[in-house]
Amino acid sequence: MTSLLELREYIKSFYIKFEIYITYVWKFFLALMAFTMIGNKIGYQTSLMKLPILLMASLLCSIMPSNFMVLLSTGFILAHLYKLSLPCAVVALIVFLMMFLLYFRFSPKDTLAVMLTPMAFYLGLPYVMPIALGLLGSPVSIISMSFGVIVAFMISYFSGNATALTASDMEAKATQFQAIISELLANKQMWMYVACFALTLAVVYIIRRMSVDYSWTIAIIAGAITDVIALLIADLIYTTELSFLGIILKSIIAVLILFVIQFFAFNLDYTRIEKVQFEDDEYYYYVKAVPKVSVSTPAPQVKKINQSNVSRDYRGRDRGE
Amino acid sequence: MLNEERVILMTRMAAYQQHEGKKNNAINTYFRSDYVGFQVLKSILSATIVYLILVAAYVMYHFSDVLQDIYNTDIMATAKKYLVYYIALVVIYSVISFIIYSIRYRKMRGSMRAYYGCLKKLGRMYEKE
Repeated sequence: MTSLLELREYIKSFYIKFEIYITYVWKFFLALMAFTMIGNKIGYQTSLMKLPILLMASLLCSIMPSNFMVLLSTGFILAHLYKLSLPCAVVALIVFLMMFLLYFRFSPKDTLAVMLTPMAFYLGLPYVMPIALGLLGSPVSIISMSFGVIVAFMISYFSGNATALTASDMEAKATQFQAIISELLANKQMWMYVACFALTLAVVYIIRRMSVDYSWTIAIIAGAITDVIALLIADLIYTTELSFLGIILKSIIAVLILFVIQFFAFNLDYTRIEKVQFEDDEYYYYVKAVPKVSVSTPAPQVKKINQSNVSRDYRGRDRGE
Repeated sequence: MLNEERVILMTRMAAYQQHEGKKNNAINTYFRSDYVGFQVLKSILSATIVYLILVAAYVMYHFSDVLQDIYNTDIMATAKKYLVYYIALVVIYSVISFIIYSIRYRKMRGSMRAYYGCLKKLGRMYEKE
């Protein structure tokens, strides 16, 4: 355990040192992953699937704020869907517009959750999301996560029914629009995920905020259990054909991933390097302020001999013997 | 000579300005009522757009029904119904944004006050020399 803690300190100091570059790199890879996933699922616009374009878009995302990545992803999705058929693109556009106009005016920080949730679904580990957001975010994240679930189901619906979704004349398009909306709204599994994930996030958040020891660990485990139970109950009520074993196995994997996240994110109180410049009457100052990092050195090991004897002696003395 | 304490204070303040300060300065140029009012206005606008989108989607969804019933529906009653929905949406959304932006403004005033406190402290340091 000590060597692991040292490793964490080492990674932390490394991260603080090279924060700017690491941010560029992870944003680049995240964007590349997102665009590739979109392409794999609904890559109908073949010109957008070319590697140079993907690389260029990812590079752009790495230097722009993270909200730009979300915006560009929605653009990619709309472009692909437009190639498939107009009604699909319209439905997606409606969902995205509502999302941006109603919600993201208030909390632009949360936007990334909308992108990460469908990605987690695609990777087959959606159960990570509610717990991770409960640990790192706030209860308001429920809204962006729910949008993420809806987007995930919408995309998988489009990719699953691609052949049925090509209409040529206007009337067929109108009926198709109807069909898409009614099938999306009637998707019990989607609403079930939305409700169960919201519940899980709330539980995790409440437990995480409690002032008990190991609140994060308890929150992760309680969250996973809540999630599994809620999903199973919902499955029994609405018969959504979820795999019983799949939920439990994936939840266990999710918990393991979350322990890794917890290990690195817990007490994430690092302050960043500040590069500032200012002046007074006499000087120009170009200051680089580097936060102090304490890398824990291996603690000296003290071996206690005859511990039980010592404690008995003390107790004796207290009683006045 | 460089006064170390002063450099530290100035660095902290400059760092604040670089991150939060920029945003807060923008808010600080408004009075509270102007800032919140402007944001609520924006909210009303976006709620209107969303409502129009929803109505358009509804009409497209029930396209054939709407076309069939267009001559034998009470247009006034329908319009009234939709107006009520619209007003309800706008009111709820405006109230939410009013609360959120009022809280934000208050938070901004708090951090600005701390910043001005630092400025005063800095001024005293210069006076001492």
